[in-house]
Amino acid sequence: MSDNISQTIRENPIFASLTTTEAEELASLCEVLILPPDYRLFSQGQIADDMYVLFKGECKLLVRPTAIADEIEVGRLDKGEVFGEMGVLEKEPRSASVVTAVDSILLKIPGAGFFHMIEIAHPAIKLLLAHTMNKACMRLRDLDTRLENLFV
Amino acid sequence: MDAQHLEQIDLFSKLSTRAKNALAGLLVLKNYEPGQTIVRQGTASDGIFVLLSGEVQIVRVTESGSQVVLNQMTSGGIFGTLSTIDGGTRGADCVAKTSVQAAFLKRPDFIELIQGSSTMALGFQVAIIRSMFSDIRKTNDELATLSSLTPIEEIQLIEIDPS
Repeated sequence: MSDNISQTIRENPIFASLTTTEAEELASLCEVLILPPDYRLFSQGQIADDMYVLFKGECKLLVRPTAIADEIEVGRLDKGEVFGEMGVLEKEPRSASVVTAVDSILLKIPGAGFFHMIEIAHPAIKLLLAHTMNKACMRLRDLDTRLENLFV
Repeated sequence: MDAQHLEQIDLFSKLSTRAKNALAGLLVLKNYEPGQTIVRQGTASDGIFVLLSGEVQIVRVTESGSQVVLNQMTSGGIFGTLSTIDGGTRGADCVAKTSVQAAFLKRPDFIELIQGSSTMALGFQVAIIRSMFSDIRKTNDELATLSSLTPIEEIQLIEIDPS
């Protein structure tokens, strides 16, 4: 079972450079979630302290536009994606709910585990931080482009 | 630069004393007059700035000439990050609104910290990411205000990866 988990972890492009031992250590510091469809990971408005890596499956992003409105699906998270990182680093209320769309396998990284991995300088955390930083760069450049387009 | 200057910077509060001292050793203190342009949009990056005191206005000038204020930054903020990471040109003008004192980290030292594996380097990376998240929120807010996005469209912008 643990062989499968470390293999699953290393199949994710973000963690491809981890050794089997390092992948096992990562799994032990985090929680591996094997979930059915329609499992709610967290809800909009909850104070967050976990980030997630979606190894297999797919998740839905849901938003309730006002307190009394129905939830609306606003997007999907695909295999390989990292999400919830703003929660770990800023402990802000979640801006959306995440629910599994199909059978899914995720890595749940609690805030405490995340910062512990920084303390011990675990190789996995460097990979996660690099991924998060690149994602933030692309998002900022994209926002700048959208701003430009407003004034065309 | 004296490590004392970093004590008030919330983004670096999680760094150990040793890490803060090491970081301070790489930083250079710079002073600017009111109205001085610290960073010019469209130029290449030579490093990042940590705002120690005073106020800096981050303004993007669009191709059509419109000025969009992205942030009125006060002490503790970091600016000039994006182009230093991705090697692109500066995304906005950064102008001193008051007398400003900033700590400058030159690009080669920044890159070394960003690529480092030590606890200090990782702590620095976390600080940079947190400041970028703050930038994302502020730019997103500005965009939403200017384009009258619905709350759902606003969240889509921040949550969905650009395709």
